[in-house]
This record gives sequence, C-alpha cells and structure tokens, in this order.
Amino acid sequence: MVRISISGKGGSGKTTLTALLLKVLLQNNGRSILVIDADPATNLPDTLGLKVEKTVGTVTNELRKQMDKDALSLGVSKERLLETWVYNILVETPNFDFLAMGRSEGEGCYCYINSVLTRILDIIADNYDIVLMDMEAGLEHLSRRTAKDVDILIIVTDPSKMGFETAKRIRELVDEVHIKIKNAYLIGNQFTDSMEGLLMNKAKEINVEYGGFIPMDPNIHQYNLEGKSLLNLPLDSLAVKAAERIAKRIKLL
Amino acid sequence: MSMFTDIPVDVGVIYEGERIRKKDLYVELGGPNVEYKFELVKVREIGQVEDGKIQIIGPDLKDLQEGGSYPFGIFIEVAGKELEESLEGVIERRIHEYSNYIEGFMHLNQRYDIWCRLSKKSFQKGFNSFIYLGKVLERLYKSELPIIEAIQITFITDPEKVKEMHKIALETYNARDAKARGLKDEEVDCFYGCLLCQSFAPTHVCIITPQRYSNCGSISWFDGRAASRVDPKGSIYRIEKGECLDPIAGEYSGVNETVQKKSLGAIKRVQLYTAFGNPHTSCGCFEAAAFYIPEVDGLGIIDRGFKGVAVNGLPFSTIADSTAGGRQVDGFHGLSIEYMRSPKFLQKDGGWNRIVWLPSSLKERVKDFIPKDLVDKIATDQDVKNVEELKAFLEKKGHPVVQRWKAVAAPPVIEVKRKEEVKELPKEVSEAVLQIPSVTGGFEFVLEGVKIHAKKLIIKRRVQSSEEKGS
Repeated sequence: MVRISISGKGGSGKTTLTALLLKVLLQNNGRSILVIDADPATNLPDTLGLKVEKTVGTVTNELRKQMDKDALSLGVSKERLLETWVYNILVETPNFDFLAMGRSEGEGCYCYINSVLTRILDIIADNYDIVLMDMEAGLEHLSRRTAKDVDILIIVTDPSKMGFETAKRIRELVDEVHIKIKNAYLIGNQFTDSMEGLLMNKAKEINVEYGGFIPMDPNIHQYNLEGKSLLNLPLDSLAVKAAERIAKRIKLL
Repeated sequence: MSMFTDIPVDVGVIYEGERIRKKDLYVELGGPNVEYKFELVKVREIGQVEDGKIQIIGPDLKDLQEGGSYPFGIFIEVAGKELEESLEGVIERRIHEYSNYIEGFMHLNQRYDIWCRLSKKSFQKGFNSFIYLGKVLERLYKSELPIIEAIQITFITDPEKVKEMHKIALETYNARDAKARGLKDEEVDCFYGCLLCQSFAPTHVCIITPQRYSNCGSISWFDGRAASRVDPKGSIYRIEKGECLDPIAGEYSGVNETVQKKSLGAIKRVQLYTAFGNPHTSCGCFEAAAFYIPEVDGLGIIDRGFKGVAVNGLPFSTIADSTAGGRQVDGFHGLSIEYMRSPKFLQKDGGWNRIVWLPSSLKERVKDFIPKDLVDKIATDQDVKNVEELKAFLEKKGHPVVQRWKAVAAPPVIEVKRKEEVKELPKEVSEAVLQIPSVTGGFEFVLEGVKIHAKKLIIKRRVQSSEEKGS
C-alpha cells in the first residue's frame, strides 16, 4: 500500500492536485484507491463531483453526544459501533472510495474516540493499494493520526513567498515530529516554465525532491466555475498532462 | 488452517480487517440498506442442542441474487456443563471475530446492527452456502472455547422469520443490558486501566470498574474489556483486582499496585469511592469535578458544560485546574457524569447525602439517580448564589449535611468574621495552583492535623527573570 499525503498552504492547490493525480491514477491502472479529504473545509467532494452528507467528524460527534445522553447500550462496543458508522459514510464509487474527515471534536473528551478512530482508519486504509490524502492547510495534521507512515509527502506551493515559507515549515515539522516519510516532494501549482528553475532551487533549499509543476490551465478555472468534476477534464488538458508527468516523476506510474 | 481443508476459501487471522468494496461485492447481508438483521447466542440445556447441526431458513447464498442486500440473522445455540446465560454476550461477540477470519467475508458491528458482505471472488471459489460459514464458526468456537460442548447454528434469510426472531433478539439484548447496568464491582475479578491521558497527565491512571466509568465518560468496563482484548498491550489494559482492602472507600490491592507502577511511584494509593484522602487522580478531560465546600462540610459538583461559576465563586476551569494533570488532591475529584449514576458514587463520603450544590442543568441530567427525598434538598445555581445562601438553603430544606454540623463537636465550619478578606482566599489559592505546572515539578504542601488561623493568605508566583524564560 502506498500512502500519499498532499499538504501545503491554504489555497495553494492541494485539492486541485489531489483531483488531478486521482484522474491520472484512474486512467492508468486498476489499483484500488481510497481518497481521504482530511481538510475540514471538505472541498474535495465538489471537485470530484461527489455528494457527501456525513463526515468522520459528524459521526464521532454523534457518538460523543450519544455517550453524554447515556443513550448507548452497555453491551455494545463503542469501537465496533464507530467502525460501522465510519464504514457507512464511506462513499463507494465504481472506481475509487472516498472518505471525508470533516471537523471533529465538539464538547467533551475525544481521547478515547480518537484512539479508537486511529485503529479504525488504519484498518480501512490497509484495504487499498493507494491512499491519497488531501490534508488541511494547518500543520497540525502532521503530528496527528492522518499523516502516520506516509510513503510520499507532497508539499504544494503556489508562486508566493508565503507558499514557500509554509513549504519550509512543513519540511521542518516532519523532522521534529519524527514521522516516517519515505519520499518528500515539492510541487508547484500555477507556475510557468520560466519559473521552474526557481522552484527547483526551493526544493533543494528545503531538502526535498523536486516533483514538477501544474501550469495555469483555463480548463480548470472553467470547470471550477461551473462546478464540474475535474475528473472529467479532457485528457489533453495542460494540467492533466502535467499531472501525468508528476505521477511518473514521483513513481506513482 | 488444516481444520478448514473442506472450506473453499482460506480461513485465518490475516483476513481480519479485510473490507469488501462495493464493486467486489457478491451479496450484502444486513447492513444499512436492510431493516431487520441480528445475531444472537442462547445457552441451552444439554440435550436441547444437536451438536454440529447447521440449518438455513430462507434462501441459501447461491439462491440470492447477486448485488442485493438481504435481511439476515445468525442464531447460535450452545450447551455445556459450565455454560451460563451470563456468557451469551461474550460468546456472541466472537461471531464478529471468527467470521472475519474467512477470506472474502466481512462482518461489522454486533447485535441488531450486523453488516456482512461476501466477495464475488470468494463466491466464485465455491463459498456459495451458509453451511461453510456455519462450519467455520462451529469449529472455531469448539476449538477456542472448550466450555462449549455442543453447538447448533441457524442462518435466517427468510424476511418474515428474520423479523420475528429480531424481536426476540431485542428482548434478550435489553435483558442483558439491564443486567450489565446492575453489574457490581464485587462481582468481577478484574478492572481496566486506561493510560490514554498520560501524554498530558503523566501520573494519571484511570481505573474503570463496572460501577465507575472513566473520568472522561467515554469508557465503560465493557469497553475496557473489549479494548484490552483487541490490544492487550495497549493503553487500555486489564487489572487484576486483588484483595479488597476497604469495601466502603473502594480500595483494592491490585489497583494500588498498578497505580504505583504506572504513575512511576507518584501515586501510592487510590480509593475509588471518595473525594477525600486518596481520591482517584484527575486527568484533564473529566466531565465534572466534585469540590469540597468547607463552610458546609459538603461537596459541590460542577460540570464542563456549565458556563457560570460554582457556589464558591469559581468557574469549572479554575476548579478543574486545581486537580487536573494527574494529581491526587484531597477534596477535589474529577469524575464522569455516568459515575454520578452509580450506587458507588462517592460512597464513603455519604454519596448523594453529601452533595450540596450542582448546576441545575446537570441536576436535570442525573435527577433519576438522586434519591427522591434528596432531589429538592440539593441546591443549584438557580437557588443560591453564594456559600452563605447555600448554608441557609441547606438548613431550611433539612439537607442531611446539616446533621453533620451538629454531630461534629468542633464543627469544621469556618466562622467567617472578616467576610471580604476570607472570601478572597480561595481565589488567590486557586490562581496560584493554576500557575504551577504540576507536570514539570513545582511543589506540594502536606498539612496534617494543623489548625491555621489567618486573616489573609496570599500565595504568589515568583516572577521569572528573562534568562529563565529563554531557557
């Protein structure tokens, strides 16, 4: 199983890159894929043309509420209950499965729920050849469950100082929290050919490999505006072609 | 496994956790698309069970249409000299474990909410009858639980029959729950410990018993049992109860041993049913806290959800900070709301007879568990605003603590002469406590058999120099 984690500054294009990589993966082989939207904003479903009614956050909050109301049977294991609820919100499409993390942790203690959740999510993830995770903008996730044992860490940046700064901080945090990461790549979004050298230098500077860039693509703007799934982008789209090159470069293809 | 050579698919622990994806699915049994489903184990008399019998009521796997979701029941009857009805739940939960050992078979949840899937691949390999599922269950049960001498298994897919049995199953679960709720600490030989909070409360070991829920209100004794079974070396583990040293205070040798060991010696003794002396340590996520109100020799309780201040003028956060972080503080006790529903609730201190104040919203939640004649005698934020009013309230209502004021020769009531100054006292103290990070050391006062008369007591935090701050 390959776990791919996509992080970077808010608005740098994590969600777009996740959708593009997914499209390329679906186009190219029959591996089973789980896509996890770990960004509490939960934008990925729209980008992929999915309808998501409940997130992991919704069901954990529900469990906590039921505990508070004393509404659960003593003889029913909360772990099994949550496992079932999480499996129930898994969106199963013909080509890939999708899970939205949402926002969790309302009132009350989530220590137990989170410890159980880690195990539940690991068990689900182990069933797929590829797990693709669109991470939240903040850096907290790197020290939390969702970024455990990452095979490929992708740091996305747009051409901005803030994008690079965030990329640098993410890289530093990886060392600090001792997450096991096999390969880390810097990938640009909305870059042009003339800016590639700069991007490559930045990658070297923060000690990650260079993974390529997604150019500006009018198709993406148009699809986003119309609310169309990026999975339906034409194959000759600039961004799709770039994503294919990136997938090869980071050895996903 | 060699005992499964006649089963068309593999059977083994490696298939635990295997999920069948929708596109690989042959049929779904139970699950969210189906109203009626259940699994039930019943203990029968020896002779009433035909060992090895496997029956199917309704269409078998091969007669179900591919891609559909079907009502489903698993009904297991067992017999054995040592078997008791109380073991039914434990045996029933093993269905989940054992059926998940089957390649291409998924089983989630339990009781009336089971959700099974069979993969196309396993069906094509020949796993096309419930007989195979029955054989696997039967053999695993008998090899792993020799206490079972005879077992017969019935699979039900006939919708009417599933519905009919579902009703009987529900009655059984309800009866079991009622029994579980009545389970006493004296009736079990082990408790469970939880170390999940040690990352921020390093000396905190939560002791979970049938009658004492975890402080966070998340983990029952039954959850502890389930968790320690899944991962015996994990944060939630089994504690041998050992010898009962004090049945009223709830002191057990096994608990003391584990607390000493897991708190690295910081905590020596824990008495489970008291807020005084050696109370249970408090983590950081307890749902409510009991706090001593010396002026009335009673305990108040404030919960996390209450946004106002307690009768002593302190909000939850301040009261919580005076005991959180894994400390054992005499007169302070972090606890769960579920524990307030337990007959063991602060038993040594007098239980509900000792509770004098709680927020009205919390009172509403636990009302049914407060002795009827006491409900109106316990004050809330809507009845009184300060300790003086509380005292008058308790006296007027004839709260049992009033008897304590008379019974004690030298009443522990602090005679408040200089009200303003004395009132400041708890505030200063609690702020000081709040600022001493217990985790990183600090200091501890132990005062025993001491009488202190003070006009005013101020404990202030030493101002750090800039070098110290930088370190």
